[in-house]
Amino acid sequence: MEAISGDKLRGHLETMILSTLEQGETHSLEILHRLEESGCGLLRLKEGSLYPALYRLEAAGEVKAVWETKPHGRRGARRRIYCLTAKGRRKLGAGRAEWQQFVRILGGILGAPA
Amino acid sequence: MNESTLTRLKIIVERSVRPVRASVYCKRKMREELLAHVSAVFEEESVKLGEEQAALERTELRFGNPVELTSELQESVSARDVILQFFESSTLRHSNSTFHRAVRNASVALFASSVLFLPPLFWQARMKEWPVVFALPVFVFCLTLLADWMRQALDGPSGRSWFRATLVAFGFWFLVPGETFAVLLTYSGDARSSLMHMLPLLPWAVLTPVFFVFLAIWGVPPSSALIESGRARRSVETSSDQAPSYGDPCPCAKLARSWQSRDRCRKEVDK
Repeated sequence: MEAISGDKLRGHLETMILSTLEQGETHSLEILHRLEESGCGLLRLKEGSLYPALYRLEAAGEVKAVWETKPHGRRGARRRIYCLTAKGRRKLGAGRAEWQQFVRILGGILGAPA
Repeated sequence: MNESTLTRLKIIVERSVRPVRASVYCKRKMREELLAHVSAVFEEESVKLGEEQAALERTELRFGNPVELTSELQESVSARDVILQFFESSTLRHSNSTFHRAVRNASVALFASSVLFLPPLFWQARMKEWPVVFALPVFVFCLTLLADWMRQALDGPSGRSWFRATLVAFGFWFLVPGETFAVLLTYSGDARSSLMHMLPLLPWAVLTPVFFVFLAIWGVPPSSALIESGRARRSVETSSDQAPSYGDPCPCAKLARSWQSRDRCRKEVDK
């Protein structure tokens, strides 16, 4: 099966991130790993793209981020731990409903109902 | 991970973060977090591939195109942060010329002054008093010039010159009364009455040069040293051969923190 990448993911990345954070708070690389696992290796995401999405979610108050207390790498490069907020949970719920509606409508048009 | 690898990783991060227009705090956050990410990816790839160069290339590939990432990061920066960056660049980034710095500081003051004074003046139909908007910018302009001249006189490369310091001190002395006189004259149009109102300020205004001399000699590190250290930090951050040291405190803050650092600052100025 062809990998899913770039434009196909655009618009859904933020909901996907919220969904991974539903499993529990974690840092960005782990979010990527969770996405890859859920996508059965078919998700091809430029890893840097994750951060703008995370920053947007943080600015919108949908995720909360705190610096980890112990530096991960050398010279104090710390990771940030992200967790879902109540607003994020509501957004995730809305995102799921929106997706189901999208699939239902497009499925009907394409003659391939979900 | 050796030093050169770490530098390569920092360069990968820097290519994406440097062009982003955002506040210093915001960019520092991006840099540190992205460095932690690429470091972790590099470690993963090193284990998988067993070769450092290949792992670096793979890390770069996984991270994505820096130009695209820059634009995505830019889009994620809030409007508040862009405004903050504008003020930071106006006030913190100093040019070589004192005059340019004074003009820039005065421009920022003019903007602030316009926002503060013009709407109430317009609202109260007192637009004929608009020259008051220029009081703050003129004050800031003169203050920047005088502060720099005072620093040059006391800490300049040619050594301390008390004669020049005295001349500048006179400038400081007349700054506040002079500004007051100009504002009163604009309002009343009566030079004599404005002068009479300004004169009582003169004895008190002598505290201004005293304050600045005290500040320059015993108080805080010379502003130019802070500028130099900031410049040095930026040159390290923007150099393609060297990458910034993440997690280290800002050199400006470090220099300003301790009493001892004042001497180090002066040495930087002398250089």
